Amino acid sequence: MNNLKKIIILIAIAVLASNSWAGVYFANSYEQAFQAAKKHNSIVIVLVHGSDWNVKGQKIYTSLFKTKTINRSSVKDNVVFTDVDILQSPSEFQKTNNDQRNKGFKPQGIHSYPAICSYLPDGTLLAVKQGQDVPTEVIKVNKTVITLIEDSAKYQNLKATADKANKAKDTKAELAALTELAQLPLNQPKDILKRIKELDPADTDGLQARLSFPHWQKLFADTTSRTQKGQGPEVEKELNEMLKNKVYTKEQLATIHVAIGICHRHQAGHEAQAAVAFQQAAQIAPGTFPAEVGTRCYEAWYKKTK
Amino acid sequence: MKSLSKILLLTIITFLSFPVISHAQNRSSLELMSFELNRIAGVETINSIAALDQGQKFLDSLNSSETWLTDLLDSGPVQNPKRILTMLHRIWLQDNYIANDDLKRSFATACSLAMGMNTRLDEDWMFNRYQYFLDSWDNGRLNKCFSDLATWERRYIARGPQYSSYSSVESLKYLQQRICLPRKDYVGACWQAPYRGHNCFGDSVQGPKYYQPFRGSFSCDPEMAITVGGVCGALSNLGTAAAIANGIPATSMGEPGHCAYAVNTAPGIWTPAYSLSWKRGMHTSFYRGTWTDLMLAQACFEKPDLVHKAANLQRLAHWNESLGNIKDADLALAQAIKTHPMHYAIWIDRAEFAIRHKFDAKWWKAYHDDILELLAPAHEEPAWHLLSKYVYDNLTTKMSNAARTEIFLQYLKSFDDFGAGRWNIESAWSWMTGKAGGSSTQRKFLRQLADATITSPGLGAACLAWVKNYYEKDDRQWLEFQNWLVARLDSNGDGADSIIRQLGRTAMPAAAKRGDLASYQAIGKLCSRLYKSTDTKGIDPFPGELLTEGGAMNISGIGEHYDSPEQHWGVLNMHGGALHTNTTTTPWVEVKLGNFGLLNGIVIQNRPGGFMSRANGARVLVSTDGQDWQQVGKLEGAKLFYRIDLSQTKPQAGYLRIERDGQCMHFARILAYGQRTN
Repeated sequence: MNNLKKIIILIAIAVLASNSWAGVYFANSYEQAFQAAKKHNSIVIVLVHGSDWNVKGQKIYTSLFKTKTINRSSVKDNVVFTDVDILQSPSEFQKTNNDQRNKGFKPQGIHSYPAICSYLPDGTLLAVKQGQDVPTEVIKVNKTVITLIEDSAKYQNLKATADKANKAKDTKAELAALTELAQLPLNQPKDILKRIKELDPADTDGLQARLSFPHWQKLFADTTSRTQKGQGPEVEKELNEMLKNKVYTKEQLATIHVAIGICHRHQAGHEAQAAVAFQQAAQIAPGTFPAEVGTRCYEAWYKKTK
Repeated sequence: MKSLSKILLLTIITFLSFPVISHAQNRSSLELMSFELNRIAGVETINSIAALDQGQKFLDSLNSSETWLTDLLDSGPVQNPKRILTMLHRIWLQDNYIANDDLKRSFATACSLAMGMNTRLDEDWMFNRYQYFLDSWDNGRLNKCFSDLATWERRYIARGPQYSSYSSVESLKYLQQRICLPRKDYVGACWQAPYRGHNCFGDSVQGPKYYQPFRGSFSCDPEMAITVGGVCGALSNLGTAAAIANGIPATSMGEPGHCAYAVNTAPGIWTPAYSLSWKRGMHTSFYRGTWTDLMLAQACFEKPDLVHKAANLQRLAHWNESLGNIKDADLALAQAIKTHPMHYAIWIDRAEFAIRHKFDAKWWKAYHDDILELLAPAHEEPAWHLLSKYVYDNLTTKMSNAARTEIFLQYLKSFDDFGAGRWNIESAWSWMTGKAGGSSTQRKFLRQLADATITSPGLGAACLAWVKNYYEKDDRQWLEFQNWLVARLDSNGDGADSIIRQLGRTAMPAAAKRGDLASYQAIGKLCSRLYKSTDTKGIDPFPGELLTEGGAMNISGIGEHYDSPEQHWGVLNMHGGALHTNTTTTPWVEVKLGNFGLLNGIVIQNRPGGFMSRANGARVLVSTDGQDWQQVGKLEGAKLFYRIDLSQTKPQAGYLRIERDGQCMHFARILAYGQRTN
């Protein structure tokens, strides 16, 4: 009878322990992590590693995740940790068990292992840290994880604030929250820029212009494509209009100058203008990527142009 | 006394039975290898190495280590020995104890052997490479499997991809961070660089301006390719270099108008990546730059004990030859081949030995018979190379046409399918037919050739396509051949169509399984006369090329019940056709696209009439390697046409799969459209 009591007490302690929530939780599988995260509205941090082939990932797993020794003192937010093990040559038995642990995981956006992913409780991927963004030293990895948690929690809070303000039709508060959210180094909510534009059509501080500035690859390719289709003057006009916007960074301005150079390059008789544009790119933001591109284009193609 | 007689008798029997072994017992393995090293390198090279700083000490160290000499001599061909020994000496000079460290010794030897494989490789480049890899291993930056590799496999890592700049120390450092994957996933690593024929400036990749604006802004060329883009050359070298940077053997390879690569995805397994054709020229190879040569090297070196045993016999032969014991040398070589018939170098060695000593036709017939018995059944292409390069000239020149063609037929009958992979067997058929004799003998031989191969699921398709091509300008001969074929194969009396149908049913699935698009297309087109073209009304194509055209298809339960594989070809193009999977847990249809591409959309035409609802719920998936699949759509409802718009995501694909649970599927067309990326 005494033994039965002991067993009941032990079971009760175990159940209570498993349900206890101290803000940080290490889940045993990917699915379990999201179940817990949904229950407590937590960020999910997933270490994706390969225990039978990748030393760096294994070191992080062993030092921080397996031993649950991530420095939690600085973690103020609810967070669930788990890991996904991508095995290289598992036995059938290992594969079955591991597939079960990894169930639901998709290697979205991962091109290098180990990777540390951050998710919202609903499974939205906020960020993937991989390659050189995952340091080799464990202490630095810990710092990376903490920063990721902080940014992700901030995202979660700002999104909640924006949603609440939207419901309350408090456009000022919504804009403030979205503006801050848009500058976090994380994947952005769909249509965030569209919403910011609706809230601030005048783009008061130029944030929209800076954030919506196209990637150089796209700007250059679009410029090339449209100019080759005979829209050179129109493209040139648009790019010059962009130059008038004072909110762009020097690097962005240099990128526009390169695009102008490309536009002229594809128009017969515009060699002199192309030369000037590439030179301006080089001068406006020395040492930046578009400035280097501008310099090379000028040196290679237009140096002798009068 | 009786016992003594017995012992004497046994000794005599043993001596007579194993004359070569008795010689081998007189020479230790170390002696034989040391002799071989001196033989290969030559006095001049050995003296020049000995004259280097601590050169003699290095040579003594090498010559006293059986494991080191085994690494050096039994890991593939030893080409340019002076370059090899110079490199090895340089590494040894830095670390006198490499002979005692398995990994260091093996990788140092692999790097040195790689120096001999390509005389353009720079010594400093290789030395830095050796150091960087060892440092990477010590610091846990390489895949754990690196420590399990053999020296011959490490040669692929040491050699690097075709573009040496993709494998500089800077590139290795970058790639170890940027692309670090489980071993098998490197077959998809090439897609980390976008396929762009023209850069964002509008300049073609074929000209010098493509990378001009960007060169210097990136840490290395792979980073530039990932950011700026490239075409098949850059993409394949990136995939190769990424695998190599992480300690996985890989090689880039040329294909007609294309560049692809191959990765050692698991022990003993080489997987082609971004490959469009079986016509591959390997950029790192041991004997000949063919895929089948790589397969034979794998079959050979995966058995190191046999390699060593056979190579010791070969070395003994060299020793005997140097002493003028030609008969013993020949016996040793024969025994070496029988010990390990996959050791291609010994086959070549034996043939060249015979040429040196002007052996007669009888000897060549025995060698020929050995090839057919020991090599051709599994590796018919290397066997063909030996026969055509060495044997036939020495054996068949003075023969009558009938005897010569009989010799050719013996080869054709020594294998019943493509053994280690598809190869240019057509060139062998053409060569043999040309050597058969006059036109009537040729015609007769051609039928004998077809008779030997036409019923093989693998060879049959290629053979029929080759014969048709052979008679391209002679309709009468082609018709006569078909009539002969009907008489040969048609037991039901249904005529030529029946034969073609039968070939379609056997040869097309075999070609699809092997990824042999050329044979699949040849037989598919031939079979298309057997069924009517389907109406194209209602097809609303997506922009771009029809990427399924020129591809091949396989399905679950191929040829069972309601399925007619001879009608599969039309499913992938505007002709239209038919397929019918079986009903199993998850029936599937898999298509290898005619070209890799960024998909804009997929049109799937259901079989009209009843049961169209069977397609409802089918999942549509794409893949770049035919292994890892990504779902891109789902067929919903019972429709004649399904359109899956992928213009927003443009997934990269070389393969397409349709699967559903518990219900068979039947389609008339599967058409994928997009922008070609090869």
